[in-house]
Amino acid sequence: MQDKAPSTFIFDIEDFATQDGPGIRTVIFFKGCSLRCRWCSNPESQKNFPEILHSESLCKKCGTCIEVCPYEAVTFNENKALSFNRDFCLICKDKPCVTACNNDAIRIAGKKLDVDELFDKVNVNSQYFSNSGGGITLSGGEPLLHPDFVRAFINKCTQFGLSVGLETCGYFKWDQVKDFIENFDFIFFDIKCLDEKLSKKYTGQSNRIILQNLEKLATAVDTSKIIISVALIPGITATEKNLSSLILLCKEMNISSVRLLPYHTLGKGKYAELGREYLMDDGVKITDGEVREIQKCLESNSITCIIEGL
Amino acid sequence: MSSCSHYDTRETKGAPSTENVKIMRNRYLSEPMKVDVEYMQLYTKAHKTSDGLNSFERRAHCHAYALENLTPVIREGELFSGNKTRFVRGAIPYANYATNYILRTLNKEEQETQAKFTEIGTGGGIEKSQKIASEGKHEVFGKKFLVSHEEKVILKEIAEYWSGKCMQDVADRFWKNTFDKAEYIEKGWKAGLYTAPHDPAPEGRYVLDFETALAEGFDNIIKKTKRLIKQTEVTDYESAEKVYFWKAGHRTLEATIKWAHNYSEEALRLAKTEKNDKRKNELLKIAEMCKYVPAKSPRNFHEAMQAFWLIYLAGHIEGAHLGYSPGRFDRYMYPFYIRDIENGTTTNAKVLELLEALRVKMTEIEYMASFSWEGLGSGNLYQNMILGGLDENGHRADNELSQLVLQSAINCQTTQPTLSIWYDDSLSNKFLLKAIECVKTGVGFPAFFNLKIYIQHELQKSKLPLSLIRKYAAMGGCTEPTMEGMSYGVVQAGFINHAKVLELALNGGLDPQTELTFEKSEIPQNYDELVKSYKFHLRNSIKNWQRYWNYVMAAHRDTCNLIYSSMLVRDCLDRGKSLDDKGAVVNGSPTTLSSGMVNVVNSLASVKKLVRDDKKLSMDELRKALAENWERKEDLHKEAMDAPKWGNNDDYADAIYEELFDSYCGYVSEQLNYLGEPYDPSMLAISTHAPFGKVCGATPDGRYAGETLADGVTSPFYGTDKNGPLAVLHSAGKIDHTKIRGGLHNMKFLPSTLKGIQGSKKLISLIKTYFDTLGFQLQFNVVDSAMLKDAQENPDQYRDLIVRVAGFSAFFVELGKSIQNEIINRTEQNL
Repeated sequence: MQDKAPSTFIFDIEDFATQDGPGIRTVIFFKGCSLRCRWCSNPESQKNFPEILHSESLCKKCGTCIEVCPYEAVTFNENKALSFNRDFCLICKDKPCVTACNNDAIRIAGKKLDVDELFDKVNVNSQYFSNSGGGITLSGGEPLLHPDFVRAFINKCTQFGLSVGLETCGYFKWDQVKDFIENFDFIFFDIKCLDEKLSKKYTGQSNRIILQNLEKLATAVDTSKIIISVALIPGITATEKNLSSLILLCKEMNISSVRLLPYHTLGKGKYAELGREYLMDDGVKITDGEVREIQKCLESNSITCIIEGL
Repeated sequence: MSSCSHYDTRETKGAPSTENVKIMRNRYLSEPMKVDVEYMQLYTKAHKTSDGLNSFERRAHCHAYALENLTPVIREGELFSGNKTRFVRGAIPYANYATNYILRTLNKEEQETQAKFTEIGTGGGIEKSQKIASEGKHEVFGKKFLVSHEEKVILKEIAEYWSGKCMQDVADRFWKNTFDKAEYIEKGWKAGLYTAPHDPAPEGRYVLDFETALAEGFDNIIKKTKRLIKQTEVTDYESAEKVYFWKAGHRTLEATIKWAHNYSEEALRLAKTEKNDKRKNELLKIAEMCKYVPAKSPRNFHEAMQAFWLIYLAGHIEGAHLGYSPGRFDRYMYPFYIRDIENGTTTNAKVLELLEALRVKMTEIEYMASFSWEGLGSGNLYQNMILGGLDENGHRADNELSQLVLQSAINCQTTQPTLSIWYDDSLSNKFLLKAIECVKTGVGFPAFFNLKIYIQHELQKSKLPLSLIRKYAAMGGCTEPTMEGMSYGVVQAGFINHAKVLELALNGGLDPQTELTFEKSEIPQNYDELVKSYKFHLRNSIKNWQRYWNYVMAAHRDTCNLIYSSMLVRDCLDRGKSLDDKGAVVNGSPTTLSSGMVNVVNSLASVKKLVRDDKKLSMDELRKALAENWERKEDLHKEAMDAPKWGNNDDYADAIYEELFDSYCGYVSEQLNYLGEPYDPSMLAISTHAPFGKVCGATPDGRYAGETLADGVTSPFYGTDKNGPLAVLHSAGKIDHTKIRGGLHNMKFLPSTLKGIQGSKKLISLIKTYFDTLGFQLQFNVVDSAMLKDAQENPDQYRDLIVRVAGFSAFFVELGKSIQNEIINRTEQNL
């Protein structure tokens, strides 16, 4: 008997993505990530299991969800606002609170899909991929935290001639992915802080494993497939020191492409929806001029730059 | 149709390339809209003194007399001349078509019932009109036009004269007394099943045969006409009508030449006193050109532009047109262009200046109609210039001139003409990239049309040879294809409100809002009965509507037949028959337009799910919930909202669309038009989705009473497409677009989604792939900061706007205000 196809939690699938690799792409967002970057615009991607998001602005405070919750995980707090106790919430299969809410104020991020189901969902766009030189981009979260799933998925895509690219934070176990990682058509490899202390402070983890993985990757695959992705966070990653280290790193690894992602706060609202605090300071901003300066600096070091963002 | 009231530009930002165009465009932007009675006053004078003439001759004489005596106006900066009225933004009150709305407006009486649920814009020129009126010399006519006190008196006289004689009155006397479904039609207007009668501007939707007119010159056409008259002996009614038609046609062509000569003389007069040498030479050139064309074939590109404009404008003056279009301009003007370029007598810069000037000239034309039609059409004239496509041998037809036309639209941003592209895979990359560059200015065009689909449609409908269809496929009106220079003007009855048809179906023929009963039917108790009942009412509403319009067209032939235009549409001249006598090659063009199908599809999907499959409630309970506008039925409302919806690539809903679409096309084609040809189905919405929504109660799809219907033809209802833009296209690709003439699919993007040349290429791939799956039309709104601010104010109209940044995606209207502001700021900076 055939093994059951592996499955995992996916929290979003986006079609007609134009900033996540060449051509028209569908981006698959995996759940689970080992980093906790403060500026993360997809906080619902971080935990490895489904989570409840509750929108204060859509909520009419009718309390229907309180009535239907079997675990008393939802209550009114002293300010008459709804409070979700996520320790008690068991993410019921039939999602009674989501179904009961008439205002679309509650949603669950994370749906379990097996490889075949996921493939069918994205394969409908194969003509758009082939006409545009596009394909699928795995993102997240950290797709490589699900090596068995990704291995099976990429195999299936290869069978049908679909291009698959990867966006990775670099924090994964090399041994689990080394057998298939060369099958990606391109890899956006995130580099945040090259200083280990700063890395710990702002991403929650040392950058040691990330840099080791990059080194292994640069020897295992053609380095033209690797594009270093840098979220430009003023005062944190977009500093002269960090960028000089980045240039050195690119030279060492023989990597010549960098993707710049200027800081934005678009994901801020989702922290509140998850009952979490947004830790970035208000007023952190990066201007077009600063981004252009950085681009110029990198290009003068023979590094090709792509800028994505609004 | 694209509205482009926003002139802020995005990735591409252009400016008029010369001082002349700048002067013209600025003048247009600073002028109010005015009623000009001159043409109608002259027309009426001629009508009063031409009793006893044959109806063709009388119609021709009135138009010709008026045209010959119009004041020629040449304005600063103009490099070729010809104006529809004496005012920069003037409109002719065509009382010969319909006079009731003019009289009602003058008497400040209540407009037709429909005015109550139609809104017109209030910005721009409209605001200006009201301001100027407050200064005292003018008053406001209707909502947006100014009329001087003296002209108002004249207008009243004219309007009173035409009372009882205009097309609308002649038609009303006819159908109201003889048509057995007359009462149904009038109820239909009261209930908002139909749009208001379209008599004030019933025609357009066709393209003149510019190719022949330019190549021959009017002198040769007149020669031919005279020869035909001589060769034809009158022996019977038919031969007599032929000769009358030729005589009438001859009169209009002569008058057009005379009108051109008036411009020539005016230019000479102005040149005499002109101090600036450069301007003096320009005026002398105009004088020379208007003496030569349109009588003779133009000798160079500049002259061809002058000739085109006069030929086009004379037709525009003759009829109360909407959708009257210049067609395949880049094809028939190309020989003049390339000859000058090759012999070095002109440059692309000079050509560009003329093309930019043409944009201003076409935008200056205004039309006035009854209040509700102005609201429905958003005051747009729908002059559609279509580029690209194929030649008769199937090779790509885009050329250097096509690119210059696109560049002129980038440089000189005006609302008219709207640009379209006949898409074929073979079009050059350079041309397509230029088209996307134009899209990125945010003007909302060019729109892309799948030529392959129209060819299949026309091969089935008119059975014309393939080579002919390739060469002359054009666009007449906002999204309706037509065969250039050989088609009867699509005179449309107006729109059918699908959501109202559904209300009738649900309630056994009774409209719950007005309590009017249409055709009685069984009150449906289950899904299948509802579908059956819907089809019954749909068929009736279409049939009655089309039959009614044939009565109006009979009156049209007697009162407002287009004589000048007939002379320039193949094969009217050769056959000796006017457009209204089936003189054109293609006569099956009239369309029945409809709006609101998506809400019906979603409603049926909802009934199928809740009543049939899940058995949550009975039809009576559903009717009750709808009557109470979902009040105290929040749970049920949510279930209705959660039922499958069109636009998610879900066959549960999409299959219903396919079925209803096929029925609709079948019912439309069952009926014959006034010329005895099957009506050709079309679907578009222009601005009907708002007023049509307003008159309908709650619908089973979860829509509340009065809420706007889904926009366009295949666009999902606001916020119900949850699976992304490609899923919507997969749904839209399921219907057989070859069955209809026209269709519309609007997509909105933030500039960042389409950034750079890579972004342009991605958009081209999107168009190609959608068209590979047999989609018909795509148009794009690249939003700018002004639109985003509008979205903050009116989130319902922007539910589909996705914010996509690498690795992040959200609906704009769902983001917090501060984040929205950040996006607005970023869009202004546009990295």
